[in-house]
Amino acid sequence: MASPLSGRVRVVFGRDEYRVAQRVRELSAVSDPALGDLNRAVVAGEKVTASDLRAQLDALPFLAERRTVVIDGLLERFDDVGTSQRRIAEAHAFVEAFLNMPPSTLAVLVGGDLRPNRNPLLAALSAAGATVERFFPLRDHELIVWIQAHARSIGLHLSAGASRRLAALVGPNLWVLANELDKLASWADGAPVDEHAISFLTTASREESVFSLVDHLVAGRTRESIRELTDLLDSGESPFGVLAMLQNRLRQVWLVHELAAEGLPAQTVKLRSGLGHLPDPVFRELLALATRLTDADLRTMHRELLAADEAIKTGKAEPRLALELLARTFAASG
Amino acid sequence: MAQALYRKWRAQSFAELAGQEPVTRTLRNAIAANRTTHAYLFCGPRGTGKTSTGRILAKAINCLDPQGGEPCNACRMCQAVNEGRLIDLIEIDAASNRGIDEIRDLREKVRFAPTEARRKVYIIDEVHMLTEQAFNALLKTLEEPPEHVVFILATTEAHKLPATIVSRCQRFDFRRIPADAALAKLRTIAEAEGIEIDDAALGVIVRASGGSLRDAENLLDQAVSYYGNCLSVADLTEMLGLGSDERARALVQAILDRDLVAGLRVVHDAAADGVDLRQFNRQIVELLRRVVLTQAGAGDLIDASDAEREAVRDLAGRAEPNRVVQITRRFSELDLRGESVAALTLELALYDACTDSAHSVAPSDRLQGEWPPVAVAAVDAPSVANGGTGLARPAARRRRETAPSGAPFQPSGDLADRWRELYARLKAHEPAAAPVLLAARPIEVSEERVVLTVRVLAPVERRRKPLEDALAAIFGHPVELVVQTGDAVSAPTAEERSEPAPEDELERLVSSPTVQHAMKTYGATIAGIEHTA
Repeated sequence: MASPLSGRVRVVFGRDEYRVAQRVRELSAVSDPALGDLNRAVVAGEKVTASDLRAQLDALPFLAERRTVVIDGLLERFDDVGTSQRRIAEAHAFVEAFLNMPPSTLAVLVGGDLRPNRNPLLAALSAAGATVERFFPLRDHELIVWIQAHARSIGLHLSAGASRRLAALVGPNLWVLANELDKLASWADGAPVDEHAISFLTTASREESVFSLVDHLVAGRTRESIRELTDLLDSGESPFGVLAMLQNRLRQVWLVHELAAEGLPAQTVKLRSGLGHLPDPVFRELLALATRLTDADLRTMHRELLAADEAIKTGKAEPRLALELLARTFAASG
Repeated sequence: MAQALYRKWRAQSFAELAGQEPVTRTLRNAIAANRTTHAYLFCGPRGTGKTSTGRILAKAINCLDPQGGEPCNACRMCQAVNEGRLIDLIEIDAASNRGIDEIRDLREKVRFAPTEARRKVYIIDEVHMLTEQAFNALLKTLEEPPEHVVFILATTEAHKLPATIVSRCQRFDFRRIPADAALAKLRTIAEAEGIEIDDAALGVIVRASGGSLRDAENLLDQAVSYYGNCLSVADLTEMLGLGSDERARALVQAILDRDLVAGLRVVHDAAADGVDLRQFNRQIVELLRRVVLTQAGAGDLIDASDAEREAVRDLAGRAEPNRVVQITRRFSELDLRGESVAALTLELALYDACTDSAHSVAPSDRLQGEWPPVAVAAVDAPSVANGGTGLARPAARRRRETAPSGAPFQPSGDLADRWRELYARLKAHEPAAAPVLLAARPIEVSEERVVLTVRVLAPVERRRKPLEDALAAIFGHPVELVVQTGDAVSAPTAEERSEPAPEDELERLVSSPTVQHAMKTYGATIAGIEHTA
């Protein structure tokens, strides 16, 4: 006998928000655009009660075979609730609503980064036969394959090197990747796109510029650091943004420096420092930099940054000049 | 009423947008290929064309007869946008509509189909001003907007936007307008408006506008209002309150050469000629910045003529890099808003720069409001030679006076040697009082007595007590100080005869508010008076 919710309740969740959204879009696509959203309802799950949800689920489609109800945020309410009997009972009340909905209703539950083993609603739905799909962020080869497939689908001719470069720059955030690919497709207008164009046009290459700015700074390469800084500012980056990125990057470097000093393996350092989202090549560079610096270097850099930050924000210094002088100071007489 | 130039000459097509080629090419192609997306994010400095691009994009999307991705500017949709009456183009200033209620309202209205255009376009300017809740509310709409809506978010502070918002948009970064592009645009405007102005004068405007075309157009507009349709470099420097480049260069040269007198003369002349000292200081800082960049090996980044580069290279050879950085910081942080004390403030900075008085801020002081000196704490700073990264090499700081020796002073050698040694110790011990003895002639320096001849007695008498205390500390016991009038230092040479008497000059120097302030605020001491040619 078929499970009661089989094919009628779909659960889509995971850290890869882009593919989750795509899947939800596919599942909830209306069969007849002329009817608009008449057979599609979106329920904010954060506050909905079981009875309110039942009312939504029980509605019959209008001039169509199927009606879709997308419920966003409900699963999060039951994530990591422990063994609270009250919450478990509440979860079962919602499951009841799904079990009793008419066969013409398709329920799509959407979630983010859930813990399936500690979510009674997800467990109950799964046990009742709901189809559960989880989307992890794509990594390495999978990511490059996705980039190439998406590029093809929009008529963009991306070289293999360009795909790798884009993956390294942006990482697994498919929202950003999709937007960058669309932008590249428009810019290229049918012409092939190589690595150079990626560096020139991709916003994420700025993050890389900041990283190399920090690298030049700490290595005492004055000329390069001032050049990098000038490029960043001329390309429209706000001095405050550069300062914020510098601070952020230095904070990361310090964190990695501390963890690496404990003798932990690189992957452990990456995860424990909360930098799991960084593309591997970027993290490797960061790790190399962090291990090259001494505690004293890091203290000094933070102190100098703080002082420049204060000078800029209190209006004592013109931001662009302050950053240039900071670069000169860091690099000392390099 | 005449329309402001920047409004009159606002770009009406992608081709007219100055200095943003990658952005305009991408958007034009997107329109031509019908590949527009539902959310754009335009980031970049002010006056670089973000809002103009937003309007052109709105026009192109709804244009009834687009040509190669450009709006035709002739159809009723284009006309409506140009005249600011297209009801489906909604411009929102996020700085004054930043709350959740405004965004909820927007979400409600987004659902309704456009009234007359194909697509409704929302331009949300200064979007970084939205509250966190407003951003959350906007996110859902950005993720799944109705087909008939396009959002264009514009900001000067993209780093203040939540990453989720940024990731849902197609982001375009607007560059500062390069000087040549701004100059070309101004040249076009000038020719069309019948304004007689050469490229040198346009260059003054472009430099003053700092990469913002809108500011440059406004400055041109102002100049025309002041001086009419025939503009010269002199008109513009006067309008902007700029001193001449030569004057700024002379002051920077004096600073780098530690020539206080020459520097003071430049400041005095500038103030006397009615130069706006705030603007003048900006010129000085810009010139110092160029010296810093040149010394860092990045001189080619400077937007300047060959002659100007050569002049900067000459200046760069006059002082060591860390000192220039320090001086640049000192001048860049000057507050010259109070007109009555602007000259004094500039003179004090000049004094600091020529005497290195601002060099000795301790690292621990930095976090209490002082901007750091070039050198970093030696204790924290491994040098390259020590295997460090070169990050924190101690800069060459000017050595302070020798600290007073702990051992009591025992006069030895001839009188001149004894006095020289005693004066050095006095200066280190009592820096505020010792300078009055700078021109004194020693008569006797012994364990019991110090007898000196000065030409003017009053300044010494006023400081007698601290001097006697200092002598007691130096000798290890009280010493009689006898000061009498008479010839002080050896007879002046022919060259020196035209100079004022040393005591007079010293007295004048010590009594001057500038020097008093320097001594009180920065602990400055007078090491000597030197006259330069």
